[in-house]
Amino acid sequence: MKRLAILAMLAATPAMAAEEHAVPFFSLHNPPFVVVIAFLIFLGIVVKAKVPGMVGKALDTRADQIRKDLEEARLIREEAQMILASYERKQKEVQAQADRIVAQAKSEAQTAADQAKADLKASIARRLAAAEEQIASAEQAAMREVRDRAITVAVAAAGDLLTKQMNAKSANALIDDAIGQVGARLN
Amino acid sequence: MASSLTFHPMEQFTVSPLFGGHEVHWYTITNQTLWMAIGICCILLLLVIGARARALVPGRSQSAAEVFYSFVHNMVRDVTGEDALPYFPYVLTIFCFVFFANTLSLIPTSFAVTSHVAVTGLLAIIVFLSVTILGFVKNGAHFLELFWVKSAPWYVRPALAVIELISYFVRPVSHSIRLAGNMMAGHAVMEVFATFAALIVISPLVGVFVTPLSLAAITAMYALEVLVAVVQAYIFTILTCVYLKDALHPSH
Repeated sequence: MKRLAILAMLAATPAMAAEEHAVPFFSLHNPPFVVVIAFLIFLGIVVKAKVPGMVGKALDTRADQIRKDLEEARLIREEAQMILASYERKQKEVQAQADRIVAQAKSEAQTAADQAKADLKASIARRLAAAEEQIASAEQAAMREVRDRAITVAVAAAGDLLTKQMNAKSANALIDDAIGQVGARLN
Repeated sequence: MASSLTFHPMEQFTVSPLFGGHEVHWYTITNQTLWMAIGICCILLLLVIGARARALVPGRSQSAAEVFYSFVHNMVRDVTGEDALPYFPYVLTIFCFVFFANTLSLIPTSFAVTSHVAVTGLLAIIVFLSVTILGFVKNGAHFLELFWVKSAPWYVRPALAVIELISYFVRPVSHSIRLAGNMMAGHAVMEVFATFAALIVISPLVGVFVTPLSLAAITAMYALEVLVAVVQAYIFTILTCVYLKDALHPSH
């Protein structure tokens, strides 16, 4: 800024000198020169009030703030990454657990199915045996009945036959025979 | 030597050719051209060279460039809205040009570029035209709703439309004269104060009081003018944002 001002003054001086009311540049009669003095006073006050330093400091503070924000953002990012990693780990664990549970359930189901199959087989066998037993007992009952019937029929037939063949004579003989038999036995 | 005070406060605003001759053609390189070029060089210095490092943590010059950038960026976003950010480069350009023209004009014997309505008027007309064209391109005939105040009772709307229309066309005038007038007035006042400093040569008795007073007054004016230069650049830019807002959202 200052350097620019000096350059500008150098550039402006010949033009000023050429103006109609030929006043030298470095004269209180030349208002631009007075303005230059006032400008330098103003700049002096500004520098004395440490304004450039303050501006520089403000810019540095801004840079520091940005650096701090970046650092903070980096920390937050790292933290987020850590959390993410831990969640991923947890998810893996949960996944493993879920796999385990599924496998266990599968094996349990398999066992239950096997058990059920075996039970079914046993029950079928039991029923078969029961049925066979029933059949056998039914057979025996039937045979027994047939036999009983045959006996009854045979006794009846023998009765019939004896009744038809027996007359008085034979009956008396039979009785005598029987009495004789009894007498012989009693003696 | 002059024995009385002669005031030429407006002489400093004379546009004169730098390389001889008295006529100013459109191609003539004048003090106006020179100081505009210096202003543009300062912008390049700040925004291109200063921010060249592109560091994540900025150095001082890059930080200054970033302050400029984010200041205008926030202004566009806050005043005009998120949808105006495509026009941010234009607004930043205007702000930088006016800011540097204003502040460079504070260097003694420099030339106050923005004290000329020819400059500020052109800037304002470009703003006016681009905003108007943008308004019609973006909204079509709905842009005319800008002049039809729906929030007012129906019977005052026609009168308001006339007023709104006039105020719309006055915008570039007020926009440019506000800036040029402020810059010109400050410089002229300083020049008038500076003329009084010669009193100590003419009449030492009076001058003993008046000359230091005039120097002090100019110094004080400098403090004020630094403020004015920055504030006027800010006002010019924020008005551009406001006009841009009207173009993007014309209905009241």
